[in-house]
Amino acid sequence: MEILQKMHQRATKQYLTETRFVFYCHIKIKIPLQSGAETLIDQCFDLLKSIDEQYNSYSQGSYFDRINKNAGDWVEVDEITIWLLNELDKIKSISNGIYNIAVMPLLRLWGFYQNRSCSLPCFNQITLLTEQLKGDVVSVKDSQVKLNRGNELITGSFIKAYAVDQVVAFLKAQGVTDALVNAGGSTIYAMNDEDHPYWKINIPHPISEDKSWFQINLSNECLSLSGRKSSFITIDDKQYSHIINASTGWPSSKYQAVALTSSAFYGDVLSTTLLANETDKKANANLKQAFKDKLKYYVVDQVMPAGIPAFIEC
Amino acid sequence: MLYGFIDDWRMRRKTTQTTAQSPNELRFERQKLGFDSIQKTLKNPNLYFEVVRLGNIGFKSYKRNIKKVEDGDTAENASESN
Repeated sequence: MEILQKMHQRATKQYLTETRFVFYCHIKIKIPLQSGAETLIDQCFDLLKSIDEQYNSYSQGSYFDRINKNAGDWVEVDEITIWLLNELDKIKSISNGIYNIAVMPLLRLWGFYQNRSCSLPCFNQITLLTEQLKGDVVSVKDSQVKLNRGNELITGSFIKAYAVDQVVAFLKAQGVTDALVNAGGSTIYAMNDEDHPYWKINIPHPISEDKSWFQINLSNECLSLSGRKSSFITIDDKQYSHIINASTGWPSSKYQAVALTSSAFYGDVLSTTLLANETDKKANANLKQAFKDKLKYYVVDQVMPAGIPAFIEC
Repeated sequence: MLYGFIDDWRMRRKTTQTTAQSPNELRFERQKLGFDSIQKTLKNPNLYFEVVRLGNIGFKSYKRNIKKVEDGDTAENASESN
């Protein structure tokens, strides 16, 4: 009888899930199955779609698209765009320019987002673009933004994560304490309470095609993963990552970076920065200092670790 | 901190939706036939067929967004991309 009661108490909690294609990736939202859950999920996707339309640099007419298309002129933007640009400028500064929202011309130079065969870029062109990125590429004045001519912003490293933060804030405001938002597998936010203390997350192997390398328990934080296993370009039989160090102009040779943070926005930017950083120890020290007690991470270098990597706590 | 902007987004989205022309409100497209005085026949100068708008189709199989029920023990897969 007692055993039966215990089994009953442990009845598996059920969740309502839905996956939709937003931000050019599959986003899955999982919340407890209860009254109003369907509406809540629909509202979450409305919010994601709205952010995608208004802030994604790939969305025609978005703030970042307008800034790009009017490079050289002042463009009226909203306070969210200003906030995003200010925060990203801070990361650029503390990472010694390794992270840069205006990295798009470098990506194009290396052959990404192009329909042409690839060859190694000319060294002078790389130097020219990295020098161009060292200064103030974006100017902000009140509610206006100006991008210097010849530059292009790309929101791919943060806008999806920013939207995930907004969904999490929305769910919290609606009283949801247990949920999961999986944005393309590279940004996973876990919300937990006492009844459900963590979500299990499978981490993919950095090199082999195996689905899972190891498993972690994620609780009230976001996992941001950057890697080059599936996003690279091949030049002369050598693979070059889509993650480019904006201060050197060269693609990262590291395999994988995982950041655990309480904010998906910072997590995604940091995992990109950590993967892009090849040798700049000062930049890593700056990041550790700036995100003290707010960041746990590991980076898989060119040499694979013998076992499961240990997270470094800042 | 940033959650307060959700009402603003909803408002903007609503405005966009109301100003856009809904396909359901479009009438049947009308194409005028032209008279070919040499051939003495009626011809359709349009190069395409007439479009008949059916409005929203409510068939279940056409619904794009399907919600599923899962338990909380299933491990989620992280990846570099989707």
